[in-house]
Amino acid sequence: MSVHLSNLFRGYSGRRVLDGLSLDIAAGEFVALIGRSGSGKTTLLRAIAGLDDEVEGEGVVEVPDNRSVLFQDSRLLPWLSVLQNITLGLRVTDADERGRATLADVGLGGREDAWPSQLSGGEQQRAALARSLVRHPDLLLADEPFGALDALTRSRMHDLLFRLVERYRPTVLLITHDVDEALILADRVLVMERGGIVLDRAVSLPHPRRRSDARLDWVRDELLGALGIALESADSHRH
Amino acid sequence: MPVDDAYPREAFERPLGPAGLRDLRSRPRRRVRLAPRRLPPAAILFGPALLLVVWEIASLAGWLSPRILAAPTTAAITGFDMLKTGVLGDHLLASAKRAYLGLGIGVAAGLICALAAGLTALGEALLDGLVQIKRAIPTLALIPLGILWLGIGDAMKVALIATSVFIPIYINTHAGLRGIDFRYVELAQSLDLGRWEFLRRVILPGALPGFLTGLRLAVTMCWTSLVVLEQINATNGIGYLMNRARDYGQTDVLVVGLAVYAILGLVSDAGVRLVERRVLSYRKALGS
Repeated sequence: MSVHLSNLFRGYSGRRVLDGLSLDIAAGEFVALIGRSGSGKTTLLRAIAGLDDEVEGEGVVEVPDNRSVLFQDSRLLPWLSVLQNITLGLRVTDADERGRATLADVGLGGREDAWPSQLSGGEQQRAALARSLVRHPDLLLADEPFGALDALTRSRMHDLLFRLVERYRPTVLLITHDVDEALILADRVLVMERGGIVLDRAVSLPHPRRRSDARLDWVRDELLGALGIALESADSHRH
Repeated sequence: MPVDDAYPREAFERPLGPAGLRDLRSRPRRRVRLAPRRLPPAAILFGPALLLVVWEIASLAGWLSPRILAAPTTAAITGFDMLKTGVLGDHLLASAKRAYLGLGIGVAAGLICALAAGLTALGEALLDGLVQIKRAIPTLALIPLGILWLGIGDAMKVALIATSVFIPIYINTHAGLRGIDFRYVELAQSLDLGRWEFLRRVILPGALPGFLTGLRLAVTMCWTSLVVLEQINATNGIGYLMNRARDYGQTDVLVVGLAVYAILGLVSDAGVRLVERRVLSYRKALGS
């Protein structure tokens, strides 16, 4: 088991964001997490990443030490070259070599010495992916990493992410707004609502998958249903 | 009304060639210019040059008595003579020693205090309030105390220059540290950066633009403070030179002194900007 969470509570100023959540993720599994804004997705990811020291909460969090986070923004430091960004905090003797190899993997070979601001949005996000993977993480946590990209770039990033995950073999938890993104990439899709997981669905279709694959239709309906029910009940609460 | 009548048919049939383009140009549209025209870099010299010409003419015509203000050419000749005899060089060297010694001490102290206040809670509690109080007190008001404590010699002058330079360095570096994007701190945390690496890779480069802004202010400020301080018991320095010129009514020497201050200020500023452009070269890509 790669990730084991049980009875996880997190809250901000009295409001419960994670409400007794439990979750197990097997090593090497690719899990996508969808849910409305405010359902607690990001809080969950930050709890797993260990980035929530200042948040009140309790519960069991067992995760690998060697984990890396892919943020929604590329978060490259503007004053470091692309290569320096990738190898930041990488404590191995051949850091530069590994950085170059990983940059080549994401299609940024030859851009080692560029400043981040000289890269396009898609390239910046690929560099961020390289920074995550160069550490050969046991667990890759991605918080809507393609949300800010245009549709074509995003679909290329899906292919790239899938290929690299095959190669580097981390366990993946991908947060997304995009049901299709979840269906194309993940072995398992979770729907989150009000601090808990309301649907846990395995998707066992072989890769590569196409958005238009009819076999995905019923899963998509189920997921949208789960999100939709959440929406309706949220509406009825408001009235 | 049918669409066909609203647009002449030829409007759709006109080829997209040069003829069509010329046709567009034949109906000029006046566009309001919102931003001022871009000027060549040398254009900022126009104002100063005009001032010099008017000043020279006024002196030649006798409207401006040399007792009020010497003509620019007279001052230039005086300055050249002083340079040739080495008088100007000696005084300049004496001033520069005081100014840059004070600058060095003030910059070092400002930087250390800004880092202490920006990176530790204790430092913030201890230093920030004190600096804000010091900021509200003009340097000139500290002269009497400075004299009582350090005498009327160079130590007092250097110390007061250092305290005045300290302020812009501290304020701007501290603001730079405070302004570092929290997302970068979070990134450093997720990458498990050590304290030293975090400081070297994230904090210091992040605060560098603020520090350099402070330095630009400081390099001109050290000379400004000197003007006043060299009027106290000095036997050399540009300020002393000007003071003596006032006693003798030598307006040409006064103009030379002012010109020296202006040149020093501009050159120092240009020097810092040059450094800025080199160490912040990653920003150039943003602007282009």
